[in-house]
Amino acid sequence: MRRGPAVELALIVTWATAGACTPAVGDEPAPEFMQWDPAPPRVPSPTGLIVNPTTGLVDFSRAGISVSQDCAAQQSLPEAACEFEQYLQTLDGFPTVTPAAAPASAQLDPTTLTLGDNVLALTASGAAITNVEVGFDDVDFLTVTPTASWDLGASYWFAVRGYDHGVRTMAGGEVVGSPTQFLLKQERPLDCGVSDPSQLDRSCPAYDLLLGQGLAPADAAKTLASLEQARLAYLRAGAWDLVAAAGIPKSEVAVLWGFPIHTQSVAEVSPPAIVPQITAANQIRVAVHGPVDATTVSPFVAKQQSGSVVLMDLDDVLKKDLVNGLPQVDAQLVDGSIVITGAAPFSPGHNVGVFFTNAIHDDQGRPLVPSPVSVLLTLQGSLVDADGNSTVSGVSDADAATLEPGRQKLAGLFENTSLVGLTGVDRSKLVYCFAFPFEPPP
Amino acid sequence: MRIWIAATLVLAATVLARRCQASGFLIYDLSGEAIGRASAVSASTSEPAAVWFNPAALPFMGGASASAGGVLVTARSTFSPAGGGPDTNSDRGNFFLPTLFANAALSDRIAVGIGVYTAFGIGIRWPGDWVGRQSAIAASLETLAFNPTVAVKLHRRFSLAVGFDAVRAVVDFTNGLPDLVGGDVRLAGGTWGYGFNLGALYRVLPERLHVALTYRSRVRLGFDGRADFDPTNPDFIPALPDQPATATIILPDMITLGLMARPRADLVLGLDVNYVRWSSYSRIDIDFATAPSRTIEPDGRDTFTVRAGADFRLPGRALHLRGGLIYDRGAIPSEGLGPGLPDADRLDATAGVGATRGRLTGDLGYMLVYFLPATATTGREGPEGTYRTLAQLLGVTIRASWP
Repeated sequence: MRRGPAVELALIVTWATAGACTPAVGDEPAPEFMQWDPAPPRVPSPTGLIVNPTTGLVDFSRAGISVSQDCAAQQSLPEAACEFEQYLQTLDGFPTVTPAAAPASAQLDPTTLTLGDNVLALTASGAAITNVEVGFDDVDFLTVTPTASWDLGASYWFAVRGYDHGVRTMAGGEVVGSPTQFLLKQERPLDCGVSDPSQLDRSCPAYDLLLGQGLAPADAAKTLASLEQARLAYLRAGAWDLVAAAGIPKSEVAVLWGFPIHTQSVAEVSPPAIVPQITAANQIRVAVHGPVDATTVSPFVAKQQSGSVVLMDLDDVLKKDLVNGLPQVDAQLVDGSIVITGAAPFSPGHNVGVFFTNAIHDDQGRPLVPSPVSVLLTLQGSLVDADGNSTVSGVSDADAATLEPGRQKLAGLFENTSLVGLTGVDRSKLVYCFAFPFEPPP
Repeated sequence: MRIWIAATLVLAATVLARRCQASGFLIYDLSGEAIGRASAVSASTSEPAAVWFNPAALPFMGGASASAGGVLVTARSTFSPAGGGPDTNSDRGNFFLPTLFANAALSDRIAVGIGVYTAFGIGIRWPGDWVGRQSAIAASLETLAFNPTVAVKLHRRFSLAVGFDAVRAVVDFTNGLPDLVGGDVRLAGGTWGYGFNLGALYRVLPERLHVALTYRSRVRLGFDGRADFDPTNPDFIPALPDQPATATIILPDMITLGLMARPRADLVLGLDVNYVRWSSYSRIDIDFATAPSRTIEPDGRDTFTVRAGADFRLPGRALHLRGGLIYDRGAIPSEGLGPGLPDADRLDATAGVGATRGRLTGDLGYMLVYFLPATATTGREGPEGTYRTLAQLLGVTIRASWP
């Protein structure tokens, strides 16, 4: 059959189109990784990198986070989150019950989270810590939780082994480190030893990398300075040597982070129990972590506006029955715990509130620091949002939901100014606050 | 014919346009005859490639004709770093750019034509570990234009033409990733762009003195493609997954003013000036789905090319000898110069020969393209230093004509 011009033209068009096909480029799956992303924040926490070396206090500004002085007025954070960050910034380390947590980009296989092998928990001297539980929560954070609590004034390091021989995803995939962690591993100064940021240029590899991320030169220089400070902090602490000695060479570390615990004593409950111990029908015992000056432990006396321990029968107080609402008690330091003993048995089934003020000091004369749960219960902002989610970073939705009703009830108490005068329960002075239904021991 | 088409298909599979014939990445010289005459032919073209050079000439050609051929390009660039050190050579690029043109007179006044050709392109490859790897390891822009056109003879001395451009374009760039990341990223994508062209021919003294004016519009190429990140450092692999990417390149519009003079019956002289608005090529934003965007700022500037050519027909023979010279001003200033398009001012010398036997005509053209040394001064789009390039073109065209 003779081919006509139309067929010729069709062939030409086919030829031409074939000559301009789009090249097929790869679409390879990426491995999962231990995250360290500043925005939105998915970073290992807590971290000693935000402890201000000058003040010795936690300082969120070192992470570029400005904590408002007026949490009710600011809009950038939920009010409760802002208040909780204000609290943390009063500490010279992190709370003793804080779990160490590192985010991952995918769920990790719990069978590979082997303590002492793929997951290390070390003291600042490199001693392995065994009284911890390693887990993986429902928001993809690997957690290391102390079975008791971290030691006051101690520092800890945590490392996760990744790559070929480390932790695995649920699908069995490899887990690698993050670009941030990679930079912190560098042996050479990230700023190439340049003291004046204006002298940085693209021949400095880390600076070149940051510019390649789209940062303006000034922002890149600022970020580089922060990263270099962090890198030096790791080196000064000998963190890489610690984890290498404990079995994970630097090249296999997917994430390494550490943090100090505050030095001041704190009245707290030992996890996993979250209520004070009821040791008799008229006695409640609250453990204190750290030394306490026993002379500063005494029941509050309204007439004298003195004392540091308040016990309330909240049911009676809310009925404005202050006689039964403020039962006569004694408070003493016994074996490291503050023991509150009533003149008469407490009413079974009634909600009891236990409050300590910052008049209780440690053996160096410093006031106790509030425990995190106490702080949460005294916050003015709600712990849960309209969807029932926690508003405070680091507090699970379940914990927030558990604490929120108590916070709301106590808020009525704290906001009653006449009652504050009678009870001494001033929100700003509390270092311990807990409410629970009293049930005498059998 | 079947064999010819098959051969062309094979060649088409390797087609890759190459910046070397005119400023920026314009490839102006699309036929063997035109190459021999420095492409100073807009006022005197009488081959099917008039579809590209000046379609207003089509009504004066009569009958029907078709041409096929291509341009063989070979080129190599060398980079000398500003601070001293060894030179770096790009790979020698050898490319074949096929062309097809056809035209037919529908009446005494109206003619149509079509062209399939590559008028814009980039193709260069540097060593994978060279100093400018972050700016370019390989850069390729292939285009293929489908250009139907119609021309009308309004007067025995004057004609106008209008055409439509459909441009298929494919980019394929490979750049090195930052040193701490290692590896590279390859960006590939394709698109279609559309434009138009106009032509006018005024035969002041028919066959003795002609004036031509043509215009080709801008063509916006909005590429939709994918980026294949291939970092060697595993810690950066999750942060740089393979992902969709987009970029836009605007092909410049161009005005050509041409003059033909025939002082003797056997001698045709041509002078063309192209004014190419490369300011359209000032900034390219490459947007990735998740990775940081990248902006290339070549700061293209409007520029011009002056072409002078001659065609001498040997006495008593259907044999033509041709020659020409071109001055081509670079489109990219030194501030925006980079290894993906190491543009420069150019001096070209051309020579060619053509012969006709019966309905068939064969044309051969050769062009030597000397790039004047071009220095990148800011380091913004690549390392500071000087680029030197030398290219050669060999164009071959076979055409058949029917009265």
